[in-house]
Amino acid sequence: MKITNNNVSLSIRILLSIIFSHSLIAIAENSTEKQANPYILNIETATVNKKDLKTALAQIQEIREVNIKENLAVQAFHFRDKIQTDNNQAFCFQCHTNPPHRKNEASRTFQNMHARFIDCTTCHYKEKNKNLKYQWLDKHNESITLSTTIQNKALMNSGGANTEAMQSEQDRSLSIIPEKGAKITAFYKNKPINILINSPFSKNLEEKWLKANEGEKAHIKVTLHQALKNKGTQCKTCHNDQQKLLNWTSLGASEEQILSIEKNPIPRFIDKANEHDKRIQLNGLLE
Amino acid sequence: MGSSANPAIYSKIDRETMISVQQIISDKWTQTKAIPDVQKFRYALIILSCFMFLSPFLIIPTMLDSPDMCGKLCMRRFYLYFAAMTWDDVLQQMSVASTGVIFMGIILLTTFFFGRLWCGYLCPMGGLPELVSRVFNDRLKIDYRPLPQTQIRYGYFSVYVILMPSMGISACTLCNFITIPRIFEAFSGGYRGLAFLVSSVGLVNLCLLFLLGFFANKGRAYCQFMCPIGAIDGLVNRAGASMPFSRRIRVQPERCTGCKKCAQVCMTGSIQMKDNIAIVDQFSCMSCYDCVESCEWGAIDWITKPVHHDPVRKKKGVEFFPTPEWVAVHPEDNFFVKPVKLLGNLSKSAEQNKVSEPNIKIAASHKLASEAKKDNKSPQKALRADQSDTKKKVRTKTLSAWFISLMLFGSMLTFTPNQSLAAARNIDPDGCLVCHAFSGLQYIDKEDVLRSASINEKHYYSSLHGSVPCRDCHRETRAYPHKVENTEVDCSAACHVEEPSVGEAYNHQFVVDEFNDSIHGAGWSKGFTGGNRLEEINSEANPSCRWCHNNSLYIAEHKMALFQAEFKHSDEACGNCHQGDVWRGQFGGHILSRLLGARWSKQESVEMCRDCHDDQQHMQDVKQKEFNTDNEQPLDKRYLGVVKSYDMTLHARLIEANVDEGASCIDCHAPQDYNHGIRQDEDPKSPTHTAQLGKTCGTVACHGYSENTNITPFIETDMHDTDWLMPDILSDWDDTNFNESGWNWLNIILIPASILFLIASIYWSFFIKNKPKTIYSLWGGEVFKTRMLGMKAKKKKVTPKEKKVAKPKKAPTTETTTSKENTKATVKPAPEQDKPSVED
Repeated sequence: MKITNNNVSLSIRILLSIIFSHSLIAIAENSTEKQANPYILNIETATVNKKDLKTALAQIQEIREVNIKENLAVQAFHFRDKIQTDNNQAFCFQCHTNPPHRKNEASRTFQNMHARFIDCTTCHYKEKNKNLKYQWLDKHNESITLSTTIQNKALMNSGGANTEAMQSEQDRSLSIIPEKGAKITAFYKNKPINILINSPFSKNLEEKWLKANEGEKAHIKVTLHQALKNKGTQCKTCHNDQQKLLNWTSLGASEEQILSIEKNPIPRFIDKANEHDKRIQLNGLLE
Repeated sequence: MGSSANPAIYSKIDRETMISVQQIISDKWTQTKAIPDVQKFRYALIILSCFMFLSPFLIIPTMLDSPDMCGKLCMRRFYLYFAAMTWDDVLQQMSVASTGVIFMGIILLTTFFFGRLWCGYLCPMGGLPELVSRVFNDRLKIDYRPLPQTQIRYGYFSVYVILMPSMGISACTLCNFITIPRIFEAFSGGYRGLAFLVSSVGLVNLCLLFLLGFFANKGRAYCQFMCPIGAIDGLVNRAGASMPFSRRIRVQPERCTGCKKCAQVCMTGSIQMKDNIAIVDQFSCMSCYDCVESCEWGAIDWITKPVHHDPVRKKKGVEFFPTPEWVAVHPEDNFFVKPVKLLGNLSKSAEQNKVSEPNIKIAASHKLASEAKKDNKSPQKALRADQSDTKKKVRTKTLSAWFISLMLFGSMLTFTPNQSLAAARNIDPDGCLVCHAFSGLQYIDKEDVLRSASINEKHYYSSLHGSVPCRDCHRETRAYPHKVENTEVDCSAACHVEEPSVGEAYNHQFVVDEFNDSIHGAGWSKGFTGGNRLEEINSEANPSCRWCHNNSLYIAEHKMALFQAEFKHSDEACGNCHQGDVWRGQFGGHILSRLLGARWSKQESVEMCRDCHDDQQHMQDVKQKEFNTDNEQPLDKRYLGVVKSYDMTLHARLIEANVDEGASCIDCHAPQDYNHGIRQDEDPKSPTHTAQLGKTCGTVACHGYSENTNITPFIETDMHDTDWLMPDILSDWDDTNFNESGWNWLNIILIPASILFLIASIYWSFFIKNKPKTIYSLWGGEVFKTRMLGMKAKKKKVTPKEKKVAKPKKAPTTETTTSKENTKATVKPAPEQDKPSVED
């Protein structure tokens, strides 16, 4: 490749901006937090290769603004629960729509359902070291230990997968979600690795993004996504009685709940639909 | 000093120097300070009642469960006589305005005993124009007071109450009482108020407010001539006046000096000078107390009927009593004057001004002195203590009033409807809810619509379709991910629910047939999927089934408590014959739900129609089809504004106030037997066709008389009158549109006149220096002087020859008529300014 003045100046600009932004991050972030959060570390130390940069640039050029249409003049015929957006949203939603999964026809609704009580990093973080533990994180970004989980469950604070639909106490006991807005998050050395939308890091990022040109934006995109995997964890990774990823007991599930999670036919059914990549008959649910 | 009768005085006015704004303010301040205390109290009451009755606070209407002065609180409609009315119809009219009837009753009761206190002291509709009018100088105004008001008022009243309704002209179109509430509504951001102010009818009423209110001398012309409440109140006032116990403004003729002051200040023009004695017309008097304070001799007061019934002599209708009795002007036990007196004591300056009321002052100081003796205090101290005590009382009263209204307001905010859900009626035979019952099954589709695949299980089982299995509607759904075309729903298709009377599968075919035959018939009735809602919105002007209906609860939430109570009761009532839980579960609930009445409230059904018909963008796409032909054209102004014009009617206002007597869109366009068969007016099958209207208006508990006889104009009253809409100058300016409405022609005259009055009055009132003390209006002022004050008419033209002859007659002309007839002519010091003079 021929080195031109333009290329040099662009790369210098990008380099400068990275240095500048990183110094900003360093100031803004708590140094202990910086050490503790491997995801932020990954972002800062990301090495950018040209191929990634090129695809990222192409993707950025394709970006269109999404105005989510809700409450149409013709209302949905069946009654749905109103879904409230949580306070402890991941910073991913600065760019991604909420609900995020749109492409896979077979699994998108289920993925989005799970995204309400499972943090993005739980499925999409490339697990390089095996020291990650998965635990509930409440909406104030504080971890919920087993004891508090039980306590909260005793208080019957909230619902679960059926959060808003739950009316009676009986229904609530079916869910393992300890409280409204709580999410299963990966912890590293007892600190959550997720980045919240209202954290200094994401605010800083927003500022930087708004000022950036397309080349810089592509660079930021690559650094942010380098530690993440495009295709998240499969359904069967957790919905499986052989799984080792999540410790159901420490997440506060009872025997019955563990059984219903691990033996649930729906995940296997959806995985099957994904495998064949075509329509399968509904009676496949009966197995 | 120059006479006020001499117009030459106005030429002397110094117009060269404009007054500075500071000067204007200080002038107005001194004028305000000079206002008698009772009047200050009265003005304050009127302002307070503006706050209590009008937007934005609407404290009293809200307390009485009324949207504003209309609807339940309306005091102008329940006594209207429509031809062929029965007693039931009268009672129905009264029940619609139930609060208004009670309110009116209270007003009339107080009027009977104490005079027209509502009209004079509280009514914001009469009070506000008066207050505004008093800001302006009286010169550039119209004086309506000399007109024969009783005759005009009751003439208009009979036309308003009997003639026009009998001809079928609706009362609400004529209601000019509502102008002021609407102005307040407009300024507090209410769309109806704004719409009123810019509509043709509204503009006429606004101009009338200017010409009969703001720029009428003393601002009470509307009350004098047009107010129906005032007319009834006046009758009761007159009837009560003959009772010896009723308090009224009465003149003690033996004290009257004929100074004309009371007649000059009287805002209703109810005091007339006859033979130099003031006569009060009890049909019009509002007991405003202005005259009492103007009288320096205590000859006029708010008192019960004097004890002397037999006059010594009577001349020209004036009664003369033999012994002048010098009684205290304000007796101690005077019920109404008491608080006024206390307030009067508060102001020192007012006491200094009241040199002319020696009695009250003496009485007051005597009382204070005696009190002071008891407590070993100086009279001054006692006076001060008295003052602070009153202040405290007044303050605690206002505080408690505010506290109560705040409490009421707060309790309204905390009100929330109860949630209630019935138990499951059916299990899910197709297993769809295994997945669909999860909440949060959302995604954003290609058109950026947030879609949800979740179905609230409990709601579904409690809904209208709760016992219908999913596959009955979504027939072909067999594969996953579901094929869109396989989920399509056809509303006319039969389902597995069996109709018990015929034992056949139930379907909505008859509804769809009816719908297809209606004006909305081009809308969808099949092919519904969750995903094609946006497509329907973008491509269809006509509504489909799902546009109006969704899977609502079998028993509406607000009816659940009633349903449960009745269901328990049904065991005793129905259980006598129909025993067993099976019957109760299967039919009991169904029958009961029917007995509970319509699922939707009238408010909800209006809201539903409003969703489309008030959406101007949506209605632009709709084409208006000529009846029986295929000619199509864009919607005209009338159709585009149907919702806005409907909103102005009483029908709409009642519904807004949750009064069931109001008529919703459906009540007229699709009553009982018509269901989905809404048709255009020209269609003879339509309930709004001229031939059917009598029947439609006369349906249960509405206008029963409309069917009895042929009062065509009544049933043809336009419920979507374009006169209520904002006139669009560009499109309305062509002749046909303009000529259609008489209101437009009235506006051509009234608007420029109002503007002229406004500008001229502001200029005259604020920027002209050295105005004469007594001012008569330019229009009607002379008539007022001759007719009401009994002064001699101004000579029109005096030829030099006549002038010479007239000169020696100068002295006798002053009081010739009065001195002869009046017994007290010698005692009376006739005020200088009132002497009529002759031009020189």
